[in-house]
Amino acid sequence: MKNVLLRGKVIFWTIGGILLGLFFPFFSSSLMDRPEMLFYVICTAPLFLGSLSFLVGFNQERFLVLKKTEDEKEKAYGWMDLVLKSAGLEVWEWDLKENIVLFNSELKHNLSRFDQKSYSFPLMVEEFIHPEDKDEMIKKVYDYIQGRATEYVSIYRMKDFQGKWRWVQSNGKVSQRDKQGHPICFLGTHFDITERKNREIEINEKNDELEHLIEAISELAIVSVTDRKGKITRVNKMFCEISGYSEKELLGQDHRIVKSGVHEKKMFKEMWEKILKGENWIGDIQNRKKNGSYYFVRTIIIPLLKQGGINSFFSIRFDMTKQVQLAKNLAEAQKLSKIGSWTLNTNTFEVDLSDQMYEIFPWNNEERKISFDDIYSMVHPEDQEHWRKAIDNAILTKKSCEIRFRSIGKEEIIWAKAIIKIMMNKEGGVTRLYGTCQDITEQVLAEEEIQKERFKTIHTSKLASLGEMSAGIAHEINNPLTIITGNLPLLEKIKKEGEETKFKDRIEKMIKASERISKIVRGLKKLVRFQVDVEHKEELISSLIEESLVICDIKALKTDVKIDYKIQDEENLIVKCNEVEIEQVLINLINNAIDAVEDREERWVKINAFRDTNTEVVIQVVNSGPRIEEKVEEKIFQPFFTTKPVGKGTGLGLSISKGILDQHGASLSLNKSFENTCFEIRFPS
Amino acid sequence: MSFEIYYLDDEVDLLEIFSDTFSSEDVKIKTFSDPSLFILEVNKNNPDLVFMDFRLPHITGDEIALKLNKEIPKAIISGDLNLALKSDIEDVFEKPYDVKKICDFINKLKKRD
Repeated sequence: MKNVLLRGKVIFWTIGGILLGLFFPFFSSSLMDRPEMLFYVICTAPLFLGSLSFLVGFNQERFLVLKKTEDEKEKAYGWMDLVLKSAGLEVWEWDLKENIVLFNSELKHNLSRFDQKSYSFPLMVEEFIHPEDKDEMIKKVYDYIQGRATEYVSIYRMKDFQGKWRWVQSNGKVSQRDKQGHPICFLGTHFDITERKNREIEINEKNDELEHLIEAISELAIVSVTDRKGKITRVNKMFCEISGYSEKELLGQDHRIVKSGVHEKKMFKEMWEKILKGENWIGDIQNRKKNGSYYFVRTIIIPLLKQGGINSFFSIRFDMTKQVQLAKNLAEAQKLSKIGSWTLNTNTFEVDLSDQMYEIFPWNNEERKISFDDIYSMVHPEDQEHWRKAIDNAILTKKSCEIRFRSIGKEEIIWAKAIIKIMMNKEGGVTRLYGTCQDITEQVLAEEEIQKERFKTIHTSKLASLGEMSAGIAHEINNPLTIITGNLPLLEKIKKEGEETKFKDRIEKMIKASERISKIVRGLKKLVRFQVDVEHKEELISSLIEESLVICDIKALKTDVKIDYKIQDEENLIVKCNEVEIEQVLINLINNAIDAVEDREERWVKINAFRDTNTEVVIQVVNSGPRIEEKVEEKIFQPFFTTKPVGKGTGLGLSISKGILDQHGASLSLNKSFENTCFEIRFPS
Repeated sequence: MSFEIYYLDDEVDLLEIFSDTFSSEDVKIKTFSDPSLFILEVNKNNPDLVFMDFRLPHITGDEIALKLNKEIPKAIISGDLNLALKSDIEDVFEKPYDVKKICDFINKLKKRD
């Protein structure tokens, strides 16, 4: 560069000399008119040339000195450039007078692969600086140059040779000022901070994202942020609303401000351990409001990391007070009703039991974690099969059902009633069984007691009706007995007299009489049999009616009531029942029928048995009396109601009969389609 | 004059046995199974003694007794237990009866005549 300057100066002086030489002929022609001037010219010429030569020589000397320093400078620049290059440092120099910006080779290389030496400042800005950063950068530059700022540091994006933006930090200093102190040269460096800046941006973006997230969650949940030590640095409106504290009161505090004191220290210790490890913590917490009342929150604490360490904790809480209250109410209700609830996953056979289940069954499981097999093993051995079958059946048939079973408690046996319901997926496969389980021990014991009582009552009523009939029965036994005993002494006499026919006739009568007695005794035996056995067997309706008539015929005979019975499809008319109990009912109804008509002119009782159109087995006991009055009809099945005179009826017959039939699932009613009195028993098909 | 006894029972077999057992030269026995006919005949013929069953269709022995002439001695022969009698009855015999007891009773009344 300096050589070029030198060369330019030599050419300048050469051309200057030639031009000067060319003046001489001009001078010579004009000097022809005035020869005295020529003398001066010639005289001064050597002086002139001498001084010209001096000037040339002097400058030559200067040129040589200049050239030497230029070379040294060049060399120094080269060295420096190398140093800067190896340091990756970009250097620029802005000639403020010329308004030209020069770059070192490293910067030049990074900006553009084209070998452009310098740029004007505006062009440089236009070409390389990011449009968004331009204005700020220019402002900073002028602030500094014009003395408004003490230093110049600016961060902006520059386009590299590939057209990519890179972040640079530019530092600069005025390196040269003129005599007035105006800056004439501005020197500075670029430092590539793209990597750092990108990371910063990324973090900022992430922080922005988090900020948005917090904003969004704040709308839905109770939000707080604490520093690493747990001091609250931020709360949302919901936090203030639920806790009753203002934001001002909360900031700077830790969460102990809402501590209820119901949780064990252990829980919080575990929580801190977890979140300090950088893991999220989820838990249900009972907190206390400013006014002392409590609220329940499901809390999620998320540790926020910054530069590799935990910077703060972000907590999201959901108000569970209502749910907790509901759950409490439910638990309370379960406790009161002794009903627990359960679910069973039919794939994994995992069970989920409500607290009440552990109250019902004292399974001695403090952790309250019990498996399906555990439960099975605690079902009474006699009920296990039926219990397991009910569950399998529910899964198989997809139908809800109900089971009763016994479970073995610590010492006692617990009776439980479980309702099993089905939960299915979209495809209709059973995924879960769920339902309730109720402690019915007391109920079962009471039922057993009632059952015993019922048998006692039935028995008492049997005895009562037996008492009622005893006179008649005794008469009925004593009559044939008299036939036998009366005939005995006569037999000898008849035989002596040789009356063979009469003798045979008497013997026959005696046999018949004894048969009559045994039939009655058989009937009585059945009537008084005290049987707690509830086993139901299939019985022919015809045999039930005939056996009942053994007893009732006595009365009918005496009262001259005609009893008829008609049974359809006799061999197939069967009901599953307790024979003795149903006979008791029939005897009751037939006896009542006889009582009802014994004083009437028309005296008959008809019994019909048949299977009706909907396959129910029907037994009708009809008597010749009129239809029962409506006001009597209402009371007829009530205990101790009787229309019979004192001493004749206990008033228990119909109510006991109805009770027995209820137990059989059968019904007893008046059939009003008959003109006469008709009681009708219906056994379900 | 033979001693006349009327006997009422709806158990027909017993009637034959009764007359076979108690009839003799001086004791004549007439038996009935229908209460209304019995009442009619008794009141018409005034027998020396009547025996009646207690439990009869629609009526009892002591109810019948009220419809009979007062002078006629009346006895009940019944298989029933613990009878509560409303009318004037001479004696009550339980079925199966002791033949000797009834014979003694008949003889007692015979002597009274």
